[in-house]
Amino acid sequence: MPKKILIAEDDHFLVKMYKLQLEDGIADITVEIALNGQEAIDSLKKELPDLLLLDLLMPEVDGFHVLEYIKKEKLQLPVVILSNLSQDVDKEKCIALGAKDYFVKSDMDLDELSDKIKKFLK
Amino acid sequence: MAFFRLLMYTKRITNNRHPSSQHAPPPKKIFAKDKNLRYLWCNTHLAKDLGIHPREIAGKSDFDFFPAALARKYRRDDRAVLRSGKMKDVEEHYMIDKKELWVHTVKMPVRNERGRIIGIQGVFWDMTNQKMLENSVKENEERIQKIANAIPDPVFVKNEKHRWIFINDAFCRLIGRKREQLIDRSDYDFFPKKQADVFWKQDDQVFQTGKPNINEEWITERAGHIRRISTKKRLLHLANHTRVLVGIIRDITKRERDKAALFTSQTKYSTLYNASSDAIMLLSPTGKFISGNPATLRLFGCRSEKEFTRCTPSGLSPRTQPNGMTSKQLASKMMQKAMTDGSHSFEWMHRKKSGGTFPASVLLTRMTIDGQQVLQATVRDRTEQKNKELLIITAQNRLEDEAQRSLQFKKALDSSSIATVITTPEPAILYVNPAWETLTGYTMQEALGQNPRILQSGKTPPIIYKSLWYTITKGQEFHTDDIINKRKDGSIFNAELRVYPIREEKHIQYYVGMQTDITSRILGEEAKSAFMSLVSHQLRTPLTAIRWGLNLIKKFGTFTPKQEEIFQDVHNATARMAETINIMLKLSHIESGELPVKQESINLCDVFQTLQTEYEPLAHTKNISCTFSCATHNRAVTDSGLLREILDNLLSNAIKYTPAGGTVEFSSQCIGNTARISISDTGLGIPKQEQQKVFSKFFRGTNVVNQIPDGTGLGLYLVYALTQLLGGSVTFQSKENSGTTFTVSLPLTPSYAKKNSHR
Repeated sequence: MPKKILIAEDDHFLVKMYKLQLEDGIADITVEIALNGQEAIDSLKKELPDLLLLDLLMPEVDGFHVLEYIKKEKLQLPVVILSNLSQDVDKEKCIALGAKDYFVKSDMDLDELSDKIKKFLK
Repeated sequence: MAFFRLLMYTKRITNNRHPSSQHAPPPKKIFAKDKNLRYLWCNTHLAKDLGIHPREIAGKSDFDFFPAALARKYRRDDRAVLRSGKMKDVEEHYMIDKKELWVHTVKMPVRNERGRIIGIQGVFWDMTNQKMLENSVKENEERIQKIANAIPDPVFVKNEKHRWIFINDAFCRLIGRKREQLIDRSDYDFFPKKQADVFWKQDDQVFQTGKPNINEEWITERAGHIRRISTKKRLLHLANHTRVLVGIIRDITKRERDKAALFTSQTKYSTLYNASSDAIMLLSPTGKFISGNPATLRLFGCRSEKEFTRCTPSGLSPRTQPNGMTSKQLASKMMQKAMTDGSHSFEWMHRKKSGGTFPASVLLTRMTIDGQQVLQATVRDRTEQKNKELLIITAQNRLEDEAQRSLQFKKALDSSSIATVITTPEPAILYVNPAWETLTGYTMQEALGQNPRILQSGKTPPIIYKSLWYTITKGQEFHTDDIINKRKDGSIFNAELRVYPIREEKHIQYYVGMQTDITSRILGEEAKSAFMSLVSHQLRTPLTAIRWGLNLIKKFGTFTPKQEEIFQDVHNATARMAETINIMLKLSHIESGELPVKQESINLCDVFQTLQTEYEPLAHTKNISCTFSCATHNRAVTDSGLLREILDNLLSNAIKYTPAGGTVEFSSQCIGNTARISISDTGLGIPKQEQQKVFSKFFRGTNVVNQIPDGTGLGLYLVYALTQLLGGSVTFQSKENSGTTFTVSLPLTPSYAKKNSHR
């Protein structure tokens, strides 16, 4: 049974790169993309993924709202924040809302990202 | 026996009731009657009164001696005693031949062995004189009370037990109580213990030494207002060997306020007032000295300002002036002229406290302080300058300048755009300037006597006030940008506050608070910081695409060695750019005061060990020997994250700029309340001519830019800013091509006074 990763990211370039890196680098996974928070929530309603990679600043419904939704509905899934917001207040807010970890995208290389994702999928 | 008891009793009451009438007690008339109220016996005094011999009294009744009405009254009284068996003790008033008569009578039953009443015994004496005396004493007391009440200053008399036995109306007003509530009570019933302790100590001093004393103190009125009073206490011996203390109080709150306002100005312009070689003093228009600068005290030979302010202008002059007029007359004339003309200068003969006279030039200038007019006098001793007329002219000009300037003291404070308040140590507001009134919406009248707490909005972190008091009560100046205050109308403003404690004779006498509204600045900083956050986010997004794109190119392609080299450079550049953005954002937060600083209790050694496990392997891969020695087992209260950031920067720099084969040493020790952390390397060092720029933004040594192109030039600036934020400091020693040592000094417990530390 392949593991499912849901990626909520509004930047098309980055979406393409996530897919290239993850689908090629990690065996036995499927990647689903949500281009904003609302799409992510809709997807969560249908089926829970094994991991959610969540951006914070997205149009319409942002990442914080998605976290609040997950907390409110008591959904059981690991959420890792991948954002370019770097302030401690944002990190603390996400952790308080139940996020497992928080990474600043521009500070990491894709190989590092793959390693972290593998760890969360175990 | 019954007769003896009667005598003892009358003796006791006469003594008790009239302790002051010790001379010639009135003769006591004694008699005995039988059950039928016929006289059995009387003493010679009574017989004499009745015009008979004592032997002739037996068998007579009152009807034989007195008018019928009076005899009937006596009989009624006697029967009452016989019936009740109880003693009768009365004072009675009669009008006989238009003369007033007071008689004190005591009658008691006489019993036989079986206890049956067999008659009465009585004693009476004329107490008209005593009564008259008592009345006149009472009248006198009333008269004294009336006179005392007419005195506007509060007056009190205390006995040796510190209880008030006499007070006037002004005193009652000062305390805010009625006379009945105060008489026979003491300071402890109306003042805080600390204050009452002081008062009693002063009383004891007067009682013990017999010398009067004068004290000035702040007292709290019943309504909560704080007033400055000057109390003069002196000992008074009364005729009957009792000693009392007479106190006269003067309310000098107003004078103190003036003094406070002036004093602040004096502090600000201390060169003029305190350092001036010219004697400068302030006088009330009635010719009383209010204050004098050190030069004044030297000039007149006074040991203290207190001693000086007790003198008068004519007291410090010979009896007459060279023109023949008395100093007193001429002085008041000169002062009047200065009051009408604004200023007046003249020649004057002065006299030192010790007696010697000297010629002086005097310049009187009218000033207004707190709406009250005062005179400023500048006195210059002309003894040594008599032959230097030119110098005098210059000096006069200077004096006039100075007088003009000191006029501006008060004006400066009044016209200052900085809201300024002067308080007592309690603190109660003594003075506010118009800028303060405008900022807060309270008028001077509303603010006087209030605690500056009226401005508190409840939104300022309590630790700010804690650190404020901690600092100023130690006599140190306090500064913060973190006050959030409330106006009278309830609106909120951000304030930058500076508080200066002002000492006079060692003790803090006043606090001067200056605040400016920085609401717009705070909003501006917040907006700038928010803008920076947004900009950095917008820069990071394409940067992520570049970085990840490079990652993927590498993943899916094969490079020639040349391409590989270029790829590495580009990849490093993107990593550096990401780091620059991070640091810039952090700096923006530090500068806007928005970076939160935690106060955690941490073990410094734990932090150092984490660094060791991280940096030792890194150093070894570069073939650098790295040693850690930690002599600090102390706990520190600081922000461990920010401390890590400081040390990370310094350690990574040390390793980065030290060539293979070198050493990096990390050591720490505690000295007093300070942890000293040193990071030494044997690296490239900093060129001497560039050392003063090390902690400026974007600095990179010219000797390293070519060898090691990676580097933002912001690391050391960040280290500097962060150590400041933690209340510490950073210093370094360096020699080009032989190495550098950075030393971070960090307080083990937080210093409350540091800016930004409590956001």
